[in-house]
Amino acid sequence: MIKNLNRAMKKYLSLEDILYTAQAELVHAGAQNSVEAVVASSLMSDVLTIEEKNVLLISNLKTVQVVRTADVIEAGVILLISQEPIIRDTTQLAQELNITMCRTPLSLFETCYRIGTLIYKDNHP
Amino acid sequence: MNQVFPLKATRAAAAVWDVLLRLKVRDAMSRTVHCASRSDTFRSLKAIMKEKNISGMPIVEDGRLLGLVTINDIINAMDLGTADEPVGKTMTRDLIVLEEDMPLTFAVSHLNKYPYRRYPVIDKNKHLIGVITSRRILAALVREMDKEIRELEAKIQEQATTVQNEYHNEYFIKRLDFENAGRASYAIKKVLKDRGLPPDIVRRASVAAYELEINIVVHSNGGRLTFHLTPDILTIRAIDEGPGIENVADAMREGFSTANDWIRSLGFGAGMGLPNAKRFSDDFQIQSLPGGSTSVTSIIHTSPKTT
Repeated sequence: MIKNLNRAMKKYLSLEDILYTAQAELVHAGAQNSVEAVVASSLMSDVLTIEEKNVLLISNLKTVQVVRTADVIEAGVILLISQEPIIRDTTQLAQELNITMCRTPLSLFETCYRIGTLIYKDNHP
Repeated sequence: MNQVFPLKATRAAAAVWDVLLRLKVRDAMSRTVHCASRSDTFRSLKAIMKEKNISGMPIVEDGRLLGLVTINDIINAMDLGTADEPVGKTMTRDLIVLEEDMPLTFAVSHLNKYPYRRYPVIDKNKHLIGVITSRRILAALVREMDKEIRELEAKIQEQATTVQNEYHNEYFIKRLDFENAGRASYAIKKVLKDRGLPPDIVRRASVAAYELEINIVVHSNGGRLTFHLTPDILTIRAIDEGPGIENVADAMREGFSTANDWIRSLGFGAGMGLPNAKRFSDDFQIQSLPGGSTSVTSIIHTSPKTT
């Protein structure tokens, strides 16, 4: 579920890399434009158990609680899996809390695979 | 004027009564009005009413309301063979109208006294400016009540007390209110950050507070989250109004959950809440009475213990 980038050979992932790799669009440019770890889950209960900081939170949940959870764990970037535009309440809260948010039309599996490939670009796990 | 209201002050909730008195007819009326002139024919009005899906059209001249043509008038004109005559001759002229600055209670009263479902609204110069229906009144009332409740909640949340380096606040949490869930923990986090507490303490407290807040939303009938900060200790306490926990040991086990699929579809109910809140706390207590309330306390030391 979680991958710490320090152990995965890259020190950080830039927002630019995330957007390009996941074919994502930027919904809100918040305070952070790079991350040091990645977590992917549809259960916020699981996400809340992590201790890593400045993470990329990948989720196919699109409610305001994703943003609330991201704020609680101080996630740097939220990447939402969605074919449709993100609902206004969610984007508004991301703006209010100034958390970088992007959206990809790819599936959760495809997105995780691509981000994984990006992490292990030069080094196999 | 001896006005008869369908709602009695003694029977209606005081807050609803206040809102109805405070709101004016203009606050609830629709400003989109499809009008016609008296030279238009019944047949042309029939076509417009069919297209716009409306049951009546005011007849105006230079903005002034002259009369009204309803579906009944059109049916009568069809029966009498006067469908192609101007509506001005036989339109309904004896109208019951409302003025824009009347309290909304007048509109409610009209709905109670007369058989009509919609009333034209005029300004001081007798110009037609809108139409009001029972649906619009209800929508305005709900909107205003919602605003009122939000303001009251904000006032309650602002009742924080600060006494000699101590801070105390209390937040009311509603059952299944996923829209607002997380606001209390965000407020707690903000207080801690503003006071310059170390980031790891802020994070632990935020997670514990959020878990306990979500727990109230998901599993209880509603409750409150209290937050007490002293120079050394931070206490977050969740107290709900039931229904209590059957088996506390089970509830503290990772992965055990009584949440349904709907809750899980919202991202919660994985059975991690209480164990996680405990993990991020220095001290953790839980008391619950099956069928009664549950109290969960998370304590975090904000400075190294002197033991």
